[in-house]
Amino acid sequence: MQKLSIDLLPAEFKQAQTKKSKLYKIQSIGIVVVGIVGFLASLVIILRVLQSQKILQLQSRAQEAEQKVSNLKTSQDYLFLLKNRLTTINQYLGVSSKQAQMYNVVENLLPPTVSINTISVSRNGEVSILATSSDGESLDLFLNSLLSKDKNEDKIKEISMDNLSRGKDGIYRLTVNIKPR
Amino acid sequence: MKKEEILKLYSNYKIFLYPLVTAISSLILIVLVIYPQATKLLGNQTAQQEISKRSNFLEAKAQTLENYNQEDLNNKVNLSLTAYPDDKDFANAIGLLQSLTAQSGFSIISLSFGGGTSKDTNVQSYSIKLDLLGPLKNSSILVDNIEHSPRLIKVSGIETSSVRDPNSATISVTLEVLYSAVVNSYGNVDSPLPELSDKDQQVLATLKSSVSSLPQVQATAAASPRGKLNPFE
Repeated sequence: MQKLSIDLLPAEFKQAQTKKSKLYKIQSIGIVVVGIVGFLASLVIILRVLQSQKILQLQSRAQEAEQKVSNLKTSQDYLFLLKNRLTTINQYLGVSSKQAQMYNVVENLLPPTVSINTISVSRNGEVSILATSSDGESLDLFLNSLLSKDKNEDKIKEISMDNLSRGKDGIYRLTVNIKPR
Repeated sequence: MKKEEILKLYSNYKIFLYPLVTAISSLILIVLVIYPQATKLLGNQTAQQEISKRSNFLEAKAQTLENYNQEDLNNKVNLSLTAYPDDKDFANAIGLLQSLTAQSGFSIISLSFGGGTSKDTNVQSYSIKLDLLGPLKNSSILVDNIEHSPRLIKVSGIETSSVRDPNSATISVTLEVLYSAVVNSYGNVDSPLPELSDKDQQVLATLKSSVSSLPQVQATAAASPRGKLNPFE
């Protein structure tokens, strides 16, 4: 058996109902939107307040630590001074100067039969020697040692022989200038 | 406009008025509250991190400074000032050189002081010219002793002339004695602390043993304290 349905409501009433339900929906959406925005606004404000409190706490902690460090300024200055001194000491302590190195190289290479009359080491490490020997071979050995990279520890750049003479007494006199590397 | 007309207008357009009011109020909240506060929140996040970092750094620094033994630090500073003083220490240099030359078998004939030079911005020096008498064969020992002494002294020139007797040769040695004035204040509260490396500790140990192995220097130091009690005064 078929059901019969008859719509007896007037068209104006139906229109008003549709309009009302639409308005209700819009109102609900509006309330939700305003609610969400309001919630976000309050959330941001709460976070800001919390953040401000945290920053204040951190600032007071930093000030406290700063005060502590200021009270220990003497220790800090001493530590800086110590480090500053040690940096320079590290640079120089136990490190031979160029002049000393050159002097030691020449001293070590000098054969026992060669004697030094004068030796001078200048500020730039240049060595001038006036040596004498009765033995020409010893002088030759001395010069060869000065020229040998292995023996001179690679510290000599250039050797110039200014004078080599043999006197009536049979003694050789040698004048050399040695330039450091 | 009458009240009835307004009400009629409202009932006709309220379907548009509601979303409009919602949008305007949301916009006002966003523009006046959410956006500025969120911007500040994000901006302060960096500031907060920086303050936190500074606070942690300062706390660690204070802790490190507290851990240093002031007396030990004083001793180390004095030791470093013995090797590398803050002023021209003529008396101590003479005492040390007398000791070193005697150890090397030389005696001092004459001694003269010269003007200072500045190796770089930190290092200053004054020169000492020594005329010595002694065995020529010991000259390299003398040079080594001077260069490896606990006081920073560098040989800048050596001269021997007319060596007739190698056992009593006259040697003229020019030395550069290094020193450097103390700066009144090093760093500020936020400066990171320097760390003493293993090498620094080794140098301090070397200095300690070298200084103690030189009785003359110790005696001189005891008679007249080197430098000021507080170098920052």
